[in-house]
Amino acid sequence: MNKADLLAKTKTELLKTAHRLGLRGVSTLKKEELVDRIHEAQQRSKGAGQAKGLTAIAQRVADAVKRRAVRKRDVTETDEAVAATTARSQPTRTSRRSKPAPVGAEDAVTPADELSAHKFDVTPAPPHPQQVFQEEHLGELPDAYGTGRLFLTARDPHWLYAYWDLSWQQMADYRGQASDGRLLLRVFEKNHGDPIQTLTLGHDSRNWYIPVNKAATSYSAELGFWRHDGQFHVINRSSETATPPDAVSSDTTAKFVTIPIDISFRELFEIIRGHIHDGEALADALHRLQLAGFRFPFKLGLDLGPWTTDQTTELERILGGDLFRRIQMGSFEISEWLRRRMQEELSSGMFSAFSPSGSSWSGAPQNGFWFAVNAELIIYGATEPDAKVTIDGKPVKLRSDGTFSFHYSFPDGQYKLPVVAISAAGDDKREAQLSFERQSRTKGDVGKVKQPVHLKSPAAA
Amino acid sequence: MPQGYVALILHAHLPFVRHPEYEDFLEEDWLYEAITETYIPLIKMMEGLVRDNVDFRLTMSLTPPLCSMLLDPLLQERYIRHITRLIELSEKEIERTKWDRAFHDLAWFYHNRFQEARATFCDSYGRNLVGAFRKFQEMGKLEIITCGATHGFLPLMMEHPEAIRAQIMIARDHYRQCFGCDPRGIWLPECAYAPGIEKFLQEAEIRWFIMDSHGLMFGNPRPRFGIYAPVFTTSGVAAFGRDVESSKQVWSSEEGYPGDVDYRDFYRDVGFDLEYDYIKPYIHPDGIRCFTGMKYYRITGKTTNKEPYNRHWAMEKAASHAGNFMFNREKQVEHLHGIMKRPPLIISPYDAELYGHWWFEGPDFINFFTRKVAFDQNTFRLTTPTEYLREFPTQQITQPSASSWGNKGYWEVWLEGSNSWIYPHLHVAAQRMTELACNYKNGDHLTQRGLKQAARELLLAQSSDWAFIMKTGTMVPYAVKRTKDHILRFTRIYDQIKSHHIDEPWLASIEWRDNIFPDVNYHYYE
Repeated sequence: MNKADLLAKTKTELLKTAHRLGLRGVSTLKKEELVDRIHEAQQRSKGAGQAKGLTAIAQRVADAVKRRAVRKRDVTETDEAVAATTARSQPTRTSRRSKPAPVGAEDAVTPADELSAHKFDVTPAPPHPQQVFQEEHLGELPDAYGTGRLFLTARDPHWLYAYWDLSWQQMADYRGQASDGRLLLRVFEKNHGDPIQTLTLGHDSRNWYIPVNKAATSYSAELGFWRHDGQFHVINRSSETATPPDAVSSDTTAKFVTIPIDISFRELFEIIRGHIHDGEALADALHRLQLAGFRFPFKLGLDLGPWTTDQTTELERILGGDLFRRIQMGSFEISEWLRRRMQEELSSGMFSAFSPSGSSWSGAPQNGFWFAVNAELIIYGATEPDAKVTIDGKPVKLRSDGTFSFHYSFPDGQYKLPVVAISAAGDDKREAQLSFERQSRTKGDVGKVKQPVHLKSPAAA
Repeated sequence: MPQGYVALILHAHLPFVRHPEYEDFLEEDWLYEAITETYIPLIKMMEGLVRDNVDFRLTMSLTPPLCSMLLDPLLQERYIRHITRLIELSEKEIERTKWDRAFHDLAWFYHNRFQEARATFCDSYGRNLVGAFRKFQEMGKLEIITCGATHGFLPLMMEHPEAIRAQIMIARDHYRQCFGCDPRGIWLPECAYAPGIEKFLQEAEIRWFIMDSHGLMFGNPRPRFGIYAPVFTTSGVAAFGRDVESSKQVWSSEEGYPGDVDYRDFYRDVGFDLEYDYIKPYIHPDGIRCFTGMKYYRITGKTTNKEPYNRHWAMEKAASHAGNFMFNREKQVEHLHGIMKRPPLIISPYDAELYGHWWFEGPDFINFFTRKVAFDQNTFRLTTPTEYLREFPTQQITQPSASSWGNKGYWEVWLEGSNSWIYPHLHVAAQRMTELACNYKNGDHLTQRGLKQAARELLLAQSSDWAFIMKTGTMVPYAVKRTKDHILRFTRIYDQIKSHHIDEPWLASIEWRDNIFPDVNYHYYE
């Protein structure tokens, strides 16, 4: 649209165009200034038109890929589908090995084939299945695999968790061999000595949570039973697991090491080859050699200056409180809660399934009862399907049978709506002038709009 | 030289949800909403910072499932359908609200925002948002790190080291494909660390990871600088600890920013507020009301009578909160510097999707914060962990302790009554995968396809997201079904490979469905 065309428009129309173009702060401009701004913006978006053209190509390729994937049987390969195959197969084989071309805004001006060449190079469309199995008849998971394995892990500083993979048949067999018909889980500190706990397993139990006293301690377990000859038969033994510490370490020795991030681990191993001891970890070896004056091809910074107990005390004072009062509901929980639960909460109608206490972020009704009322205005009508209808000057899209309807929010106030229909030939015109007034008076607490009152935010504890 | 450093780290992750077998799939909306509300606003923010010559540093983890979805043509197509529908809704809203000035302006606001999102997605980046983030990494402003291949909970795989190795190496390979270089850092899924995991990171040449505060603080020997400096594990991989104070400041209920009365209310959405027949085309195709993303109200206060959102007020508030956050970091850094006699490092990690999706003004907050840090103070500088290690290569050697960032700090969220049933299956599948990889690596082409798909099914079953959803008590059926389907598909492939009878049409069908990691390298399981 050139400037003359723009100047021919009313200021309201221009403002609308400006909004469409995303121009801000234009409502106070003079008409001429407004035309200039719109003209500029239109020129800019023309420049972007090229990008659109390429996107369209990429889109066509993607469409073809999609059609191809959705079709159950590839009867005829259309040209597009062939094009898509070529565009796809190329990058998966070659461009991945060569250094991939940089992607980003430059995409918009690279040739179309290059564009599609790396657009899909990470996840190409999957090979087209000849059949899509809506129902796979996968069956159910087995109760057990019967490997006999005993798994033990420390869940936190004070709980162990164990499960055992025995089928019902195996469990019954072992029980039959036991002198007292019972299977036992014995827990050991480290992996020797007398068991610190012996648990009798219930008939239907497959796992167990075991409270333990000591953090930062290694535990193991064995599953077995007492034989008739008085010996303990071990079905399986777990590997060792260590409960994590629940306090700061009493070891305050500090070993420092310099490890430049731009030298790869592989190179570092190479540098100290022949000087690292069997089983010695990389950082330990570097530390030892750095203290011993081994010559490294990088600068060492081991002298960090003095450190006093006062400094330690002060740092721990800062950290202490927070550390032992962990945030009950951290950012993690909030976000997980949201992104994974909202949709389902809302769609399943299970609103009340969760309600973390004391939300400050959304209002909840004071007592159980509540009331909200509001009004909307629906203008509807019908005419010849090819006629032109406007409501308040705005064209309305007619349905194929010539009917139309339009929604307006309807706050308190007085409104007038002219509705006009013009025949397709333009030779007949009908008008209706609709007037409305809304006045609301309420008693008690009456809300304006319905809201999901059960929703509460996951406020922190 | 500044007195200290601050590193903002955003963890961007969504589980792999892609259902080509359905025309519409509700859970795919997670991705579409995150694109409109979080990823694009963050990209626009970085564009603005670069345009205005603001020197900034930001670190983001973009997980392999998220990158895979962002690069998937089908999901790209569906995102465009999704945003186009929203644009149409916003057009109707502009008309509907003509007598309601406040809402009318908001309808325009959303209309422009959705248009901008579509233009950014389609025109600026040719649908490739991974490429958008990569651009900022190549400018040296953004550091992108990786995560477990499918966000698997690593400490509960410790008895199957090959499974941990595969989670890390496959993530590394995928990162190379997406970003054309090696990842320097990793966000361990759920920040879950157990001693020994660093050995796998060393093999992948990954130089650092993030952990929760107590994991570092309870390290042995005691870390001299607490969480205000990283430590080296004996493998040479550095561990950085989360700063409690700065995360509390954003998220606590008393002092947290997102609850401010001027910010947008998350819960009021036209998807629920508007008359059913009118809104029906824009909610779930089954006619179930859901969020649309058009939200007209501000938090207002502890009331059900919400007032219209005022964008201008909200921006003022975001700027003032950013100023407050900066001021507090300055004080924190000065104080710590006084004690430590060296520059402290404050690590502030958050879930990326909190910014924008949940806290609508979050990206603006980061934007204001970043600009203020660059121009309004000299106490600290923004950095990334890699840049920090380059400047400070000398650190203490410590063995950090097992920990996660879940509730209570260990494994409880992912190992409790609702979800512990999955582990016997995951463990057997991991062990079987190793068996397959060792015994059939020289198999024919079809067998190798089977091995690859078996690896994909195992990886997808391992996503910690499923256990999390089971624990939180809603949407459980979907998480249970995903876990079962992947395990059962794995088992069927396992049986078919062992019996030398692979059902090719069925295999092709699940290759098409579960298409993550086209070139997955199953040799990592050997």
